[in-house]
Amino acid sequence: MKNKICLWGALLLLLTVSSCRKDSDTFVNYNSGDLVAYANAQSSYAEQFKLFWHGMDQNYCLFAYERTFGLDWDAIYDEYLPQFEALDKQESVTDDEYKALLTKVISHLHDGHYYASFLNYKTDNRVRVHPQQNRNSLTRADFEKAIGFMPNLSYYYPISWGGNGEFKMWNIASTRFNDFYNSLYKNPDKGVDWLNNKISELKFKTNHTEHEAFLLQQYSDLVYALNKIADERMLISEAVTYYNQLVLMYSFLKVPGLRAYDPALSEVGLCAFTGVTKDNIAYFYTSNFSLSLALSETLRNDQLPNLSDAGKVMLKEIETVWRQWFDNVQNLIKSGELKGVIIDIRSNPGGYANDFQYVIGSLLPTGDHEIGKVYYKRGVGRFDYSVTMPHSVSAYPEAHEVITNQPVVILTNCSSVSMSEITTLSAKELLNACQIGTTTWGGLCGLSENDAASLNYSGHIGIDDKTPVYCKIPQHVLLDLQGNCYEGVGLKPNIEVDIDSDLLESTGRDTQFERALQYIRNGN
Amino acid sequence: MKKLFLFLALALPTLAHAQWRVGANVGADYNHYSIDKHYQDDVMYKDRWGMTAGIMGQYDVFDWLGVRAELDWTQKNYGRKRQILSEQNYRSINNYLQLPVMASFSFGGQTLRGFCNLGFYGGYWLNSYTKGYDYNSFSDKLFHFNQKYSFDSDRDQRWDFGYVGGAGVEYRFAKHWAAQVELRYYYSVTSNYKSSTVSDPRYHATLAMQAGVFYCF
Repeated sequence: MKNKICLWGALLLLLTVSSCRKDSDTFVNYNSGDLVAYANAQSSYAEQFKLFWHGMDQNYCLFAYERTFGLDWDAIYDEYLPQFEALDKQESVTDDEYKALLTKVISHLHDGHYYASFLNYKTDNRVRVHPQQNRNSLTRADFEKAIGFMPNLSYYYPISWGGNGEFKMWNIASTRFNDFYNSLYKNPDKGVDWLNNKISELKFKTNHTEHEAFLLQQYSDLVYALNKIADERMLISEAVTYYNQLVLMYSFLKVPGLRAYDPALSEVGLCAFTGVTKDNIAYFYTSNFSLSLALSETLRNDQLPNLSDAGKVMLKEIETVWRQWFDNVQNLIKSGELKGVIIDIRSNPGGYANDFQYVIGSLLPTGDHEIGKVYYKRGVGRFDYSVTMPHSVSAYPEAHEVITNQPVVILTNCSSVSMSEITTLSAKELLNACQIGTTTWGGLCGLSENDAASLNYSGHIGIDDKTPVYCKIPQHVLLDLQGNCYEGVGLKPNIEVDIDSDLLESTGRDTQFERALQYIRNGN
Repeated sequence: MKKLFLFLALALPTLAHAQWRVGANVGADYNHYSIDKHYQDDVMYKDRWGMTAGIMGQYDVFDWLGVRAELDWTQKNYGRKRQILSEQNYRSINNYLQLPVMASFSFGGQTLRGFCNLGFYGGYWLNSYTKGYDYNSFSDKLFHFNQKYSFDSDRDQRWDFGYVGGAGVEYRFAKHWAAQVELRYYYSVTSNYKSSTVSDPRYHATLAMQAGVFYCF
């Protein structure tokens, strides 16, 4: 009897045991552009949504943070899938209609770099969504002003440059094609102004030799051809090709300043300027963080392996500006005369993390400095995260003088993004810097290339312009030293000052720059 | 009511043999973490050893059948590492408080008996520690850690339920004392990772080798 009870009990337990564990759903790897994984999404909005939802569920590292905004990712699935299914039943779906629905879904996300591209299979067009851009355009008062803004401090130039003498020293360099092209119109000793002077001289002469007549015609043709670039609003790539052809065709004219432009720089061009005020405040501006291309031979050879001599010359000019900034700060610290530092990263969209050492890092002692914490995805579950790890950055490696108690100001605006925000965060934490201007974009979490997706199981969903769904997502979450995250929110300034566009246009005065000067001079 | 009285009347002779016993046990356990790795090809989950200890109470209805309940501290540990990226190496130490309730079947002589326990358990994930090292690819730094794990109510299911079964030998070495050694298996049917729209369950299965002492009243 007892043996039977024991035996039946054991059998019953064995039978129930195997039926009580649930099976896992099948997870698909959306990091790559595997055609099978994306097959159904080629011709269904609902399948695109499911792919997007599952891809995000597996790869997006900000879900824990998104909870602070009330995001319920499961509720998103339940709410929006029927809407995508309804689109599949429609005869036609315009790009605007599809974009409107995608915007509604993706607007729940707060990753500042987030970008998604979906194929509208009914029109065969790509529809692109940038949630942070949408959010900032609706909520930031300075959004319109900040797009494409570049500081123009000509009002404060040295007197010899035509300014009011606030700066006693000034230098500028640019590898951007627009600046390069515009420089042909700004200097009477070169470019278009030189050509126009030559044309005027020749026209003034009454009897031309045959050669002079030929030169007059050639100078005029060249001016007309150069003006076409601006008049026809050529795209950068088109303009660069056209311009370089002109340089070749008219090289025999030996026009000063008319030199080739390396197309490799058109995607990574930057503008940098530096100055020292009359009371020894050192100022530095960079339009983006690609200083490393000029200052690091290793990175330059890796990123621009086929750079021409003309390109190297232009990068050398950037190096010169940076070196002047660095040497000015060093010399003023040594002499005890440095009154303060202004680092201007307004409308700087970010760039290489390696640039840290050349800007904030050149003001800090050599070695590594902890600026915050990071965590990564460590599995395909929505909340599979790594431990939170310290995040440190390296200062300028060569021996140098450092900031002790001199005030440092970081100028920011709504379009200060990514590495600009990390620079701001680092300066505030390590140099007690004062952030002046307006709140930054809200995109601090770093990105990665797709070929390293399995390093942290994050970074991209699909391949842009290739798979029917593509999402660029961060590879980690960046926190400050206190564990706060600013993604989708941005860094608020210590002193909020908006640019007065009317004043800038009418007088050339920059209210944000002047507030920085006031802070350094008066301490508030 | 009449049926109840009839049952009790029939059971009375056997109740004369009923006996309480209380005791304590200690042992080692070996835990296996069942998780679908999906497409994470180089990720490996490693079984790990842990400890178990607890107090036991048993009511012997017959000399071959008893009901046992225990309150045990049981560890369910595991490791996670990657074959290609060996810089990611995690060890998870998980402390559970468990209440197994089992039918205990025994057979053999008075001094030396074999037994078999079958039943269910409920448990609670008390706390967890994680140690090992990981790699911050953004700053190219290896990070060693040994820290308490922070529970997340959206992720972690702290209640644990499942089946339990074991077999062992008891040696009655004195009139009121008995020593037991047992090999026991806990089979969880509750995923410790909460499900959402997608099902990605993760289960513990723990083999415990424990020794205990009973005082028999």
